[in-house]
Amino acid sequence: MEIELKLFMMLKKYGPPHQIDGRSRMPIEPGTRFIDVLKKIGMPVEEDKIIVINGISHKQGDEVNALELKDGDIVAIFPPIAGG
Amino acid sequence: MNSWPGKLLRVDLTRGTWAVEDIDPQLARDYIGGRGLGTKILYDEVDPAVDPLGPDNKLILLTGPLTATGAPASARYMAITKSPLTGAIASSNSGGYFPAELRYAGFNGIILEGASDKPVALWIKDGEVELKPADDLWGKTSEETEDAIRDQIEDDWEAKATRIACIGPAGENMARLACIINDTHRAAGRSGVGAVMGSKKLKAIVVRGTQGVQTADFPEFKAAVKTAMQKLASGPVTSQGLPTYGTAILVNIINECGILPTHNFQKGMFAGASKISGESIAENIMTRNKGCFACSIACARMTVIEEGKYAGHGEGPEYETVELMGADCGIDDLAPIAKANYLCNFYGLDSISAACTVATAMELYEKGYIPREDAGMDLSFGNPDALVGLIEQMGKGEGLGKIAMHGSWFLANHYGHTELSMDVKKQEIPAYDPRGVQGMGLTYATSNRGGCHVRGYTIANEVLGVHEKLDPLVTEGKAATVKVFQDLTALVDSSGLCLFVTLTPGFGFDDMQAMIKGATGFDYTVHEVIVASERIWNLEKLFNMKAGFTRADDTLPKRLLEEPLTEGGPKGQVCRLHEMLPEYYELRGWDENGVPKPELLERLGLQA
Repeated sequence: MEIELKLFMMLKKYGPPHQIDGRSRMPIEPGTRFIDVLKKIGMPVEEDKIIVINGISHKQGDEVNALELKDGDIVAIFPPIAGG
Repeated sequence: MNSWPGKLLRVDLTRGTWAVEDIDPQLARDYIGGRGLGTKILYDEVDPAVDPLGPDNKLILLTGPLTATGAPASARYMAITKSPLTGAIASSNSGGYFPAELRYAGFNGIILEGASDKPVALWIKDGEVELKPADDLWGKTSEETEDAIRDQIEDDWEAKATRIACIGPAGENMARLACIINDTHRAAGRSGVGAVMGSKKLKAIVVRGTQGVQTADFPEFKAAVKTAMQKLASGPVTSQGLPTYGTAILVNIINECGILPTHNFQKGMFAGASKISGESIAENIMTRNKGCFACSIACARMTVIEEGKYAGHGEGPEYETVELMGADCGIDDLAPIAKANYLCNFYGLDSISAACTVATAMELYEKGYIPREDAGMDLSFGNPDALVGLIEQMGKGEGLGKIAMHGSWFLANHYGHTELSMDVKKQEIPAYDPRGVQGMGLTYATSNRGGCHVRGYTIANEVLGVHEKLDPLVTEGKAATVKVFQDLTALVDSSGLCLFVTLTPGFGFDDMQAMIKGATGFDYTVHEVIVASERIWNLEKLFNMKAGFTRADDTLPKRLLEEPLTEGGPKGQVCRLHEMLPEYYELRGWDENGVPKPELLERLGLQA
């Protein structure tokens, strides 16, 4: 099983070395939760972020942290941003 | 020193005369300034049924009580008039340095009436006013106009310090998409306010002021500004995201959420999104960022395309522009997008509406509704030359541009297919597909100036979670969210601040109240400014009703209500406007037809 991880802007530093566009594939065990991915890449759980999983934006917190990921899921993490 | 409410300059362009008036303090208190006060003046002085491009329409340029005070992002003014694009009220906002200079010159606003026979320019210097012939400026782009005006000023320093708002050829041609450009790159962009200025044959407003601006209670004002500045400095969006990447920082996340309008809203995801993103702009074409007057955010991008057929330089593109000229036209190359954006600023075209109109033209062309001989070029999606070429034609009023310069609805109607115009009240919809972010659908449908994202920017909560994170796909609770965003925005637009201050977590009505109270000396409570914001929204609504708008106009293009998105997170979704609109009317205190109830009008002091 693996997920596609997309990290944007300054969050690219949490990705594997030598990747330039912030995209990587990450093998996961069955039962892996979103919070486990954060721990694996070393991103502080409490750090403000925008989380988009499979094209759906999620509220930061316990609910998304406990979300179990499936094979092929696309997990995108952005720093806090806005504009328009 | 200029203070609030201060003075208005009223210019009769038919007679070539002007008068200076005091702003009525009670009106200033009830309508704050800027958008609110301008709406009140327009409502009282102009018949909403007037021909927008006739001499009886008025163009009102107003700053707010916070403009040029040193409050954060206090750079803004509003241009209020009846729109030639929509037939509804127009109130377009711009920043830069012109608005502050106007206050420094002793005027908090200008009312432009009548129409001149010949091109003129309005010169203002520290309370002195002159109308000068401008035949030599007519036909010039915004940049050429600024240069030619500065050449007329002997002293070099004075020439540099002078601030100018003008129209380009699009405004002269009364293109319904024409904007008013100030400081070469900033635009009171939407709803065709530049066409109204063109109809009055007013080419430019030239302002120089040295008077400064005084606040009523400086210690109180200073304390309120300090609190607000601390919030801006600690907010991640206003302290890092916008300064570093500008507004186009949104491209990737909006695409990831499947709501990035693509090919005239036929799709919500674009394969080339990252190539046109804020990151790509910062890496490839940006030379530096730039702020408006008194702004710590500095979201503007100075950019350059060094070589090739799209070579040029200027400011932008902003998110809406880069998205709509990019994904919505199927173009993934920043060079032609930047070029088309520069052309919009030079010719004085609203880059949002112009981009949407090109996308509509492309779909009309691909479906065979615009014949090749009319198009004069290959208008297929993804053709960068079509984007740049059609924008150039729109700016000059040539070829297909002669029709397209009036917007997507006018173009689609000309070819008998208005269903392909992505507009609300004939104004083009910006760069978020409301099928995947339901509250934005309600924002678009109920905006008093037609399709617009800055009348209630619920993206902040539905996608970005700035104040609280909401589920973008549910309709429940969105009516209340939209109403609060609309009201807060009406207040910010009336104050002279930039709407981006509201992208700071925890920034709200109380911050606005504290700064406005200190600046004006009116002992506003938070409740009073909230009521004022509702009053402003409802007066705009009353203007539109008198102009002939009804519930039937509070809607979205059929595509967004009936054709589901086909990929990404919101796959299968349409905008469920019918689930939100009745609740919205109820929360507003309007009846089921969207008409304000008598008890609401009485509460707001708007009874006939």
